Amino acid sequence: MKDFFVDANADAEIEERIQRVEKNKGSRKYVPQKNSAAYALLITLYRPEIGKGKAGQFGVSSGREWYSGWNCMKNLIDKGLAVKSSCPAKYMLTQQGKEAARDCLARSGLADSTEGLATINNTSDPVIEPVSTHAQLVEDSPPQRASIKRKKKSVDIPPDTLDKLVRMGYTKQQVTRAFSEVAKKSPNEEASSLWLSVLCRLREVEVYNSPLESENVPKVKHHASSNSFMHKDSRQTDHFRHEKATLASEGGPEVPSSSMRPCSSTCLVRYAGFILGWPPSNKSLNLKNSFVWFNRIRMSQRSSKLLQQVKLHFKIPIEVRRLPVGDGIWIARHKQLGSEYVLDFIVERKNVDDLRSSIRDNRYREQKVRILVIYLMANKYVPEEIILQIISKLPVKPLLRFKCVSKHWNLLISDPIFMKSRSRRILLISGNPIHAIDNNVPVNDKANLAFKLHSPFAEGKYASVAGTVNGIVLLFIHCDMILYNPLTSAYKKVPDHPHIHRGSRNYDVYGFGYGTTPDDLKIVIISSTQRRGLRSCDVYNLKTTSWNKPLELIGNYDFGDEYKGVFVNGFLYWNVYLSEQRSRILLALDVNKMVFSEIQDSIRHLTRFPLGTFKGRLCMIWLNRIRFKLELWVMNEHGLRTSFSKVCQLTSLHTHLQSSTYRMMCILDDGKIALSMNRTHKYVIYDMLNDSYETVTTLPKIKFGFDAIEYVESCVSPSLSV
Amino acid sequence: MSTSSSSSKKIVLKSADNETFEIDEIVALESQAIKNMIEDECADNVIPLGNIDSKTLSKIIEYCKKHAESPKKDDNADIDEKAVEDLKSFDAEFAKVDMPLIQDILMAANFLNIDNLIGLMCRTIADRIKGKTPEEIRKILNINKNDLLSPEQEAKAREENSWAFD
Repeated sequence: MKDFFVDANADAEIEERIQRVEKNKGSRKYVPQKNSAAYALLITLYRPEIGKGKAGQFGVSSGREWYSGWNCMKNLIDKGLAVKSSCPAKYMLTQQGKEAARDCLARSGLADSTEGLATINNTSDPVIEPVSTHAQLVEDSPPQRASIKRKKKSVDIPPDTLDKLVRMGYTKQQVTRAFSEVAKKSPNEEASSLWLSVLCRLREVEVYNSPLESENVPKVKHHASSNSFMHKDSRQTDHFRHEKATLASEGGPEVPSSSMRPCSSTCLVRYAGFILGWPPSNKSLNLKNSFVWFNRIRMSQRSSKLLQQVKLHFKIPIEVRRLPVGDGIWIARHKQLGSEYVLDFIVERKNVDDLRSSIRDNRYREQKVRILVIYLMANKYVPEEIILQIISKLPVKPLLRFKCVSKHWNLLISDPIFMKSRSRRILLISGNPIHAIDNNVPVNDKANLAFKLHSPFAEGKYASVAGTVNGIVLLFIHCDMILYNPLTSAYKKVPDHPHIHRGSRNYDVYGFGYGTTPDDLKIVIISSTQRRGLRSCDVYNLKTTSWNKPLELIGNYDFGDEYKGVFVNGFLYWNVYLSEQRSRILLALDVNKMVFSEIQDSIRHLTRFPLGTFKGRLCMIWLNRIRFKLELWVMNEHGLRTSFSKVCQLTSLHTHLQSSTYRMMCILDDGKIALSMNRTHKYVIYDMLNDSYETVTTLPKIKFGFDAIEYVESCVSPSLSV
Repeated sequence: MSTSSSSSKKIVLKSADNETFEIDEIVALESQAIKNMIEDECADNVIPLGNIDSKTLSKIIEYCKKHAESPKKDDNADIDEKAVEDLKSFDAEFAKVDMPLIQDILMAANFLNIDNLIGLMCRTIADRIKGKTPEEIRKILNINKNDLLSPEQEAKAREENSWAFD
């Protein structure tokens, strides 16, 4: 944003900038590489200046993503060759920039055209009616060139030819231009015998660029084939070819591009995030063989050389087919299915003049509309993005069932990246058997709201929850610890400690989290028994699959019911009671360094209620002793006293909990609390932010209590991490 | 919210069956695609929407009108609870159409890049298909026969997720 100037200061600041730039002149001069996008921009900016002979400001409607070559503009500005002012942005060259442009021109052999260009007639302002746009399309650049050429080698039109054609209704100028073109194409022909070719040329202009063209935007038919958009109204293609041919044949500095980068006076037109969101950018697609399709019609010998080069350099298969628009497009092909996707690039090769004129006369708008229409056709299949959005909204059971729908769906649903984007939070309720509640589905969808989880490892036994990381839930069943992915039903038993044999694990305190990287998983078990304020902690490292040297925890901590730690950003937290101080504190364990610490400051108000997370941050329920109300607080930065902030007041919760109608199960990350209603087995969601209650469902009568944990669905395999 | 829209700029859309729709610019701005076109100043003429028929297009315009009128979230001042509820019930009512039309609206919304509408349609489809069997899904969404799993693969997938078929 620092390049953004408000009108009032603009001039002064630009002056200053220019001066600053000029001071830097001593250092090595930056001249953009020949045929780069920066080079094209520089010359483009330079040229109208010559033509207009005035201040040389060049209004450009915001480039955005349309021309990725614009990125180089920033470069030019940084290098001090160009400055940007006002809004919408205007760009102008600095003195240094002008020099660089002249340099570029000289090097490219275009410099001599300066004189000729001086005759450029001022292109009128953006033309709105398609009629004139088209007229201009033809009229714009050629006349200047014709005049240049006349200087070097005069093109004499035989008077009778001229007469004949003028009588047919063409202007003298048109005839001259067409003639010079034709004459150049066939230099050996006798001038007088050319008139027929000239007429053909004029007719071409008339037919293919006829103003009716844009009104005749091709009607889109719903074809069945995925590449039917390739067989489009050929007139349009011809129109494009024709336009190109005109420019090429007139000796414009068309340079073959040697790579797929937006260089070599190539203007890369990008439509990302607009029409083409397909396929998605993630790797889930199993795409291979990115193709480049080139337009067959526009292939010349030079182009085929270029294709060879691209093939060799980038190892991309190339196919030549007829394209309705552009010179080349990227195509990706699905590995298994063979279906083709249009990636978000269309390459238009343009020479400098064409770029300039298309920006100035807004012809690119029209091209844009045309490309837009093309993509109407490409979009008739349900795009992958959309399928992903639909299936990401499905509850677990249908999701798993629909793995059978097709190969494509199977691939999508099994894809970890898809799962990550889906990131559905599910509540797992301990018991016999374990259940899940999917709070994302509507309340009336009983079948998907609460369901029994598939847990073959716990047949007939009561399973408690001890922690969760990345969709893996740590359960303990009597003396066994199980890592379990409720989505895939995959599980793995954690190996027993080689020396210590414990009876029931029900009184131990657990922690499950990772240090620096997610694969550095650790399970911490704090022994329930303490001797003289000292407890031992066993640590199982899932990365090394070994039990580490036990830790010691010193202090008279009373964990109470809080037997499972909450894992947030590399730390495990427990809400513990200190009997000596008669207060509660947060006990934190740095999972990476394996060091315990207390967070004591300003936590006097901590209540016995379990900790949780709110939008990924550690949250806790405090009691405001003055108002005697419960409040939700979050810790924004680990251990930082000042980073605690209040989220909201929980006005009615206290009364409800005190009257012991409700029992708190678990804090949900979206600012809710899962409550169970005593004796009725009703599951109630308390919305902390709105202070409202919603009875969601009646839970099946599970043995024992209601401990719960919220996990995020994932495809992570528990066996991989053990 | 204002009723002074009569004076505002109009945008003309043309459906595949050549019906034209004149709408306020503010309504058209709900579509990111049209918004981009307006910003790039290439929406001066009729915008041809060659793959959207008039039935679908009028539905979409109905949606955009309603959403353009409703106060946006980032107005923040005080979010009108009633307006939010109103919009919710409008959306629910809007989605009560048959499956083919929903699919048409979805494809058109995707093309016009109207995020909320895409989301609404995807949710609707997900809601409607979640109780179905894989066979029914294939029919509803026109899954290509060549894309089916082999019998062995399908048996395996059913086996692995047998609990989901209960």
